Amino acid sequence: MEISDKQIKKLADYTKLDLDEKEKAKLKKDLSTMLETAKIIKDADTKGVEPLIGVNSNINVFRDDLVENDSSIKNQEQLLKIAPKTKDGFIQVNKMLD
Amino acid sequence: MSLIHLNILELSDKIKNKEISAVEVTRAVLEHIKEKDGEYNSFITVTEEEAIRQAIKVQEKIDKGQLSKSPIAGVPMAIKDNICTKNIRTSCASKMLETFIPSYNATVMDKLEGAGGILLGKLNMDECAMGSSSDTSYFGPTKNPVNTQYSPGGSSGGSAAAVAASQGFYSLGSDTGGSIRQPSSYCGVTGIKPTYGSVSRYGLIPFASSFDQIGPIAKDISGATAVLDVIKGYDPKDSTSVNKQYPTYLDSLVDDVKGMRIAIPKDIMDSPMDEVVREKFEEAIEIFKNKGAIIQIIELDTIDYVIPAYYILSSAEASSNLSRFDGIRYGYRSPQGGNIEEIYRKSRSEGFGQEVKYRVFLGAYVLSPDNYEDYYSQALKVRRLIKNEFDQVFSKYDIVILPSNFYTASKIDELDKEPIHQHSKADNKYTIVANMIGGPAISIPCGFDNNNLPIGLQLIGRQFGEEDIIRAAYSFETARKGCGHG
Repeated sequence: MEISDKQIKKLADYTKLDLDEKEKAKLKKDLSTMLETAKIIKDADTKGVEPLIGVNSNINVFRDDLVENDSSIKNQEQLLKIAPKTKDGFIQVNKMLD
Repeated sequence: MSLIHLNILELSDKIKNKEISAVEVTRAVLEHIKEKDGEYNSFITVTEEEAIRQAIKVQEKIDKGQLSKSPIAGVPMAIKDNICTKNIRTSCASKMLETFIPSYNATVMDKLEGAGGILLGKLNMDECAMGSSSDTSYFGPTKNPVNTQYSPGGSSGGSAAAVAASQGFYSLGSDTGGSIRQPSSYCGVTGIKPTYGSVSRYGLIPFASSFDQIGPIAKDISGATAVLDVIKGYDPKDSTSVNKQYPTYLDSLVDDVKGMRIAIPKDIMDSPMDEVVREKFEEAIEIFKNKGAIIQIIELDTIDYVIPAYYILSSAEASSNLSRFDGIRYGYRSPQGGNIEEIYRKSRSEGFGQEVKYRVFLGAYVLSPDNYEDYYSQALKVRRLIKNEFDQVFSKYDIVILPSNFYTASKIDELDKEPIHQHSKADNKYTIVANMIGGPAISIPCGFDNNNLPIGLQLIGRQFGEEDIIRAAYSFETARKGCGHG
């Protein structure tokens, strides 16, 4: 199963990854090999089989929409401390719109 | 016997009997870590001052009688660096999270602290838990303390190595496709992957959310079980946590497997493996037979689906989980300028290693609209087929046993870098079954090869079947000790 350069570029766009030529070549090869192995899945007879989404029976687990943590201000300071760049209590990012 | 070589329950008793203090033992282990970790590289972060502070507080609580029911009070440990520890750097062994300091504890960390655990530091691993050698770590590979030319395995390599090297009396690892059991086997220690949903994942930086479980690694099954009893339990903060009554697993440390129905997959017996591994596995079978267990060979129809289904599903989940790492709110942001798109791309490309990129790519491929039906959707259905088959197996048998790995640890400089090759090894498909079906599994030492490298025996149980595999593991360990295997 050959992966095309066009597919590699599309995937790089989806995953927001920049790859150099060497990485692209290696990924192309590794992906192609894995997809060969995955053929058995593609060809499996799954007529009438329900997908298994989770191995236990938990479905739609909710909690009440209540504030649980009182130290919100302290937490905010802590969270800002680990942001790459901040200004005036906000996380600073590069320009989004031209 | 030196203080740091005691097992958990022995140490816990000595602390309760005031023969040793928590501070004394913490200092002794920290000294040992300082001495040896330059060589092993088990630790990414050692929290020396915090460990002593914690030890003092824990000793005060012990003196007041507040921790008398805890089997692990005063026992120093370390945890894998993908488990969040409040105010202590949690890196996932990745450049992406090199500077990440969580503002909260993982639930398991809170539980261990509540039981008098003392944190020594954060342990090395494969980057983002993706790998089986611990050599994809941004902080360099961990070495197997049994023989430092060899890999400890992975992804919880630091967790297994630290326990093997007495750099802590137990550790926590995480297991998505064998990442607790395989390194435990390579390092000669005991590791447990609990039933999915029985240990909270709140605070575990996720790799594949429907496979990941946190579990204990210790020198013996009693120690690992004592830790499991502390970390298990329903957590409302984890929506995949199962709300039920969990038994005390320490009660399963009983040397009795009379009548236990043990299955061995037929193609294990036919698979190529190291001759000494085969010998030790056959010895294990004899031990169980002599103790009155009923052993039968079984055939499995869906086993060849396991590895490809695992790769499709875990990579898809990883691809989604890792999309949160964008260089914006925390973690690595590329210093190269640019617009927002360039920040995302450069931060992620510079922050992630090759194996992580590969899995993210594969995941994106199988989730993309043209391929979703053929791969991801199919794999979900195949997962149901595998689970159905093992539900049948566990309706007739109590546990499944096999060697943890068909070969012993690889030499570090011979580690094959090809991701496919590393992961298609025949033994992996059985190891990964446990994650696929959500069942518990243990790896326990069962001997050494001709190079003195450890060999492991794996026991897999039905969901919530920890009592059976723990009892079987304890029986086995007792028999081996009785024969002077140690």
